[in-house]
Amino acid sequence: MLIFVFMKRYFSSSPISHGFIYVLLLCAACALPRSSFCQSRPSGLELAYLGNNIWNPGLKISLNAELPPDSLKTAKGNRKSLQKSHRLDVGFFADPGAYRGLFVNAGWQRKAIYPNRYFISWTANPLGLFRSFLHDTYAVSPAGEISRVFLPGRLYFAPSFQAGLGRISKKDPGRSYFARLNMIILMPYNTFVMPLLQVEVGCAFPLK
Amino acid sequence: MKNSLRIWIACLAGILLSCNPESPSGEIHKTLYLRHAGADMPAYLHGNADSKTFLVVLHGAGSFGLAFRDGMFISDLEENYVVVYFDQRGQSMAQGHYNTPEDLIDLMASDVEALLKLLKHTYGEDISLFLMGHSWGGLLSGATLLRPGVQASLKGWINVSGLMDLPGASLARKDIIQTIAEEQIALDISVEAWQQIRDEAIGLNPESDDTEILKLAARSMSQLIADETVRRTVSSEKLYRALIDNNPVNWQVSWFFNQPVAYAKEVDYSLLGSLSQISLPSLFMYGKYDVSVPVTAGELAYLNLGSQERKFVRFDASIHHPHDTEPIKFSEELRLFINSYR
Repeated sequence: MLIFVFMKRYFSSSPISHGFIYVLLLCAACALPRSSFCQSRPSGLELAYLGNNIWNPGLKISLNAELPPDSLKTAKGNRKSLQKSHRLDVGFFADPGAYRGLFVNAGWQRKAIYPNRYFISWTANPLGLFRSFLHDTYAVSPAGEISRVFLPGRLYFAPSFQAGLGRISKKDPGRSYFARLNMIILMPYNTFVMPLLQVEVGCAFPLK
Repeated sequence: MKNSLRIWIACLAGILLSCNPESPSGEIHKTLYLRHAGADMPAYLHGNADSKTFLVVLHGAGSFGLAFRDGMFISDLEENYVVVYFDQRGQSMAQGHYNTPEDLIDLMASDVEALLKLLKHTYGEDISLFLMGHSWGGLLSGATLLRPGVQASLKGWINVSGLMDLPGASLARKDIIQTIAEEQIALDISVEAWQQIRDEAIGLNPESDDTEILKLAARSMSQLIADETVRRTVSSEKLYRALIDNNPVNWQVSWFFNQPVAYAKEVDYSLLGSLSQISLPSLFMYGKYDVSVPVTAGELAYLNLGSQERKFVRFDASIHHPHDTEPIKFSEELRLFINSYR
């Protein structure tokens, strides 16, 4: 919350905030093709129910590109493996009374896998775009002229963060089940930002 | 894998095919967005379109349009008119990109003016429009009426517990707390608690103790409910609107970052000097026990009003939300007013 207050103080209500975000996106777009991100090969697919505000239904599909794992000792002396991967998420949800949202995120995930096949994961997606789709929208100009807006909605820069837990299937080690908590931050939203809280429940499949 | 995909595709199709229901009998349930000056603001329309009478509701500070949509609003008002529940700029589900304006109230009033134009454009120039504002929405509705040409597009103004004069609010709150305390003591209700509240109120300075007066007002409201002088208004229907029908995260975060009342307070906003320019038929409704916007502040605004056709209604068992605490009387007064002028 303190970070939000700081950002509100220095970035809101000035063109700097919009410029800052577009420069960030431009830098990311330039750096991405040369990064290891685009050179990694997808190794897993995730399908999940996405609940924006829990009960606004949606769907999320993610591609995972796993990197070589690390292994660490747990407090009890067991070994847990640390799996790192690159991710690309595409999802949407419907808030039936108000709007529908479509988003795409890219970033990194770390997964700590324990010997009992349970795992915890945390993800940072610094790159993201969100498009809202609104119901019938009419624009009223300062002169009072009214026109219907085609494909009404707004595009936002939308980095996201996730934390979750899950379990790897006993029969098929490539398959797993998980539950996660997501936060997507839409910016600039009104005069500042808007966090969206989401839950997701789904399963992961290996890509052969 | 294939089965899972099929299930997800079926879910996707279901969600995408969901749409706004509109029954042929004239009953409408529709969300309409207004795009104006960088903001996209939803107006939720529910009710009887055959009546050709639209009641535009402006919510109070920290609230949201659909907060009003329960009880009597559904059973009485939506049966007879179309009720337009509007999320104001920067509030609840309103979205967009824009910088903080220099004159926020003027911009928000121009949003309401644009909404009135949009309703006439969509549903015909012959519809009857009534503007109703509660608390902060009362002030915003008053500011809207002062914009050139707006009064001509409306049939009437309903001001519910509207705060019209920010500089005088603290003194009016302090006075009403003392008055209510004296009244409760005389009636032998929670004498000790009310004596303490009264004594604390006497010691406060309206010029410098604004926050303390508000805290004392909150304590007075709790005491009034504890004494059963006024009934509690939180219902399961209201909770449903707040948590399920509306997005509570959007609502609260929007309010945290966008508080037009703070701006109004900062600039000592007052409509008292301008209310004489309002000649529209007007209905003022205030709660006798309202310590947030005292009935005396409402009476002062009413005396300054330019309208010849006007009525002031006091609700004797209400604090700040007479539509929740005395819904039958509220609905009767409102319908009588609308039916007289539509």
